[in-house]
Amino acid sequence: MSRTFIDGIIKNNLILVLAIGLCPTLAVTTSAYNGLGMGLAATFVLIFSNLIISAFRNIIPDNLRIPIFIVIIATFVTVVDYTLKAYVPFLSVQLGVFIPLIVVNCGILGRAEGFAYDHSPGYALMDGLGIGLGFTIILFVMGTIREILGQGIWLKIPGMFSGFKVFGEAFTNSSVILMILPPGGFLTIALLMGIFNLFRRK
Amino acid sequence: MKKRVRQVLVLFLVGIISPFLLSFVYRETKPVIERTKKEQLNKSLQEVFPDSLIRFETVKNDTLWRIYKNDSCVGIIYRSSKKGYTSVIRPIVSVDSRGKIIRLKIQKEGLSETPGLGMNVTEDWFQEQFRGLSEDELWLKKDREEGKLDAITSATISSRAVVSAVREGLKNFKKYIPSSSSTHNEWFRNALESLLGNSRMEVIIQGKLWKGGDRYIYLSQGEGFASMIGVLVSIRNDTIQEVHIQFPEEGFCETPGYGSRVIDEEFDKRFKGKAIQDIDGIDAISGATITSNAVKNAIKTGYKEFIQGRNR
Repeated sequence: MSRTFIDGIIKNNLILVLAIGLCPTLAVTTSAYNGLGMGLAATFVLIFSNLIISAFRNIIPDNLRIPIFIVIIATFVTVVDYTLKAYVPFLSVQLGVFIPLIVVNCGILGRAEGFAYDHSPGYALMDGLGIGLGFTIILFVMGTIREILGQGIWLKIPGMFSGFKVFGEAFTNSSVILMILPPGGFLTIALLMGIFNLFRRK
Repeated sequence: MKKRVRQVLVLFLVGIISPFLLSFVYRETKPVIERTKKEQLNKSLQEVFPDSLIRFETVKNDTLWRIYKNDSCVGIIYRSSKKGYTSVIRPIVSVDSRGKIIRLKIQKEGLSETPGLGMNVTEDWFQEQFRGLSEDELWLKKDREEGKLDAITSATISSRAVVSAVREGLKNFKKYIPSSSSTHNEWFRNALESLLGNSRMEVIIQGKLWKGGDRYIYLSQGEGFASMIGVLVSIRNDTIQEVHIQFPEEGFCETPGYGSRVIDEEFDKRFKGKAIQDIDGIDAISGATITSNAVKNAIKTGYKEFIQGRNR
């Protein structure tokens, strides 16, 4: 079972290996906090949708499985959406439409279809945890790289904490804005994939 | 057949359980969401009009507020919106009673203009420029001669969006700015004299109730759509003789074309000769129900006060 968990983080890493669910990854990782928030929201949905789908896998009719998966996933996404709106309104505004869009995140549907539907709940839970953690880590790392290079600060939390100043004032005033623009997302993800594959080949 | 039934049953169950769960979550989070929204709104309102002795009154939900200080209206706050470069910019603007901008604030949250360029519309120096400007001056210097605003270098589209959002908002909401208070308080003097005619005026309650011959005249106010509406009523033997509704130049500021029709369409004539209990049966002006009801309510509440005043 712990094998499933580790596999979820490394061998089946949603972004670096499977390369699915890239849309929110590129869009929201302009800061480490946003990346973390998005990762945790997706992890929550992933764990519960995996668990429920796996628990009821013998009842769900084969030809109706996709619509049922979508309804189950959408339910948990809406739960997350309301909860964020109520308790972390700033994060909710920052992530905006990408929270409701978790419904169509192919990472989550992919795990439901490819793993949870033919494994027992225990394994499905471990897979959800592992995949979710792997996704969150990558989002957080990408957010960190982009935020530090693009704004010169790290872990800024809107409305609460103004972030660690990584470089001096001079850098903050003329930071690499490209990194928090869309191209920065592509550059960072390519860099991470490259480094990851370099180590995996060996 | 059995398979079909099972499919329908499973879909049915999924369709029941999921909304049930959601309705529970919705009920739990809704009050919290509304409270945080309200707090944020109040905070931004206070930021554009930093004065502790004021209170805000909502005129239009989420877009228009009146600022009151010691019960007199000292200005308005509005929120307008305009598409910027990559997102919609929604400045919150406070305006004083002369129609000049006091301060504006653009919320950073939810704004996704280009970082370092368009995003600079949230910087203080850009927003400070607007202070004290009137509608004609709200243009970029490079767009109009009379303009007084500098654009942000290489973010002209975002800057222009802010400027036109503020200008168009001011144009739309200008009419809600209360006119100067001195004429406002004395608007009924002329009407009072014409209603009394030649008979001698006797003050029963200062500024509220008068007696002339066999007629009583009282002044009352009702809460309309955008302003308080003053009504002067002359009454004899519990029957309404004449009603005078406040004119625009007397500080009446209901929506032109709608609320203002209570004046245009001689709404006041409909009350003539009616007993006080028949007022509810009088037709409202279509499209101006709130304003019409405000007039009716003003007459009714004023009547109650008049009875008390007369018996004293």
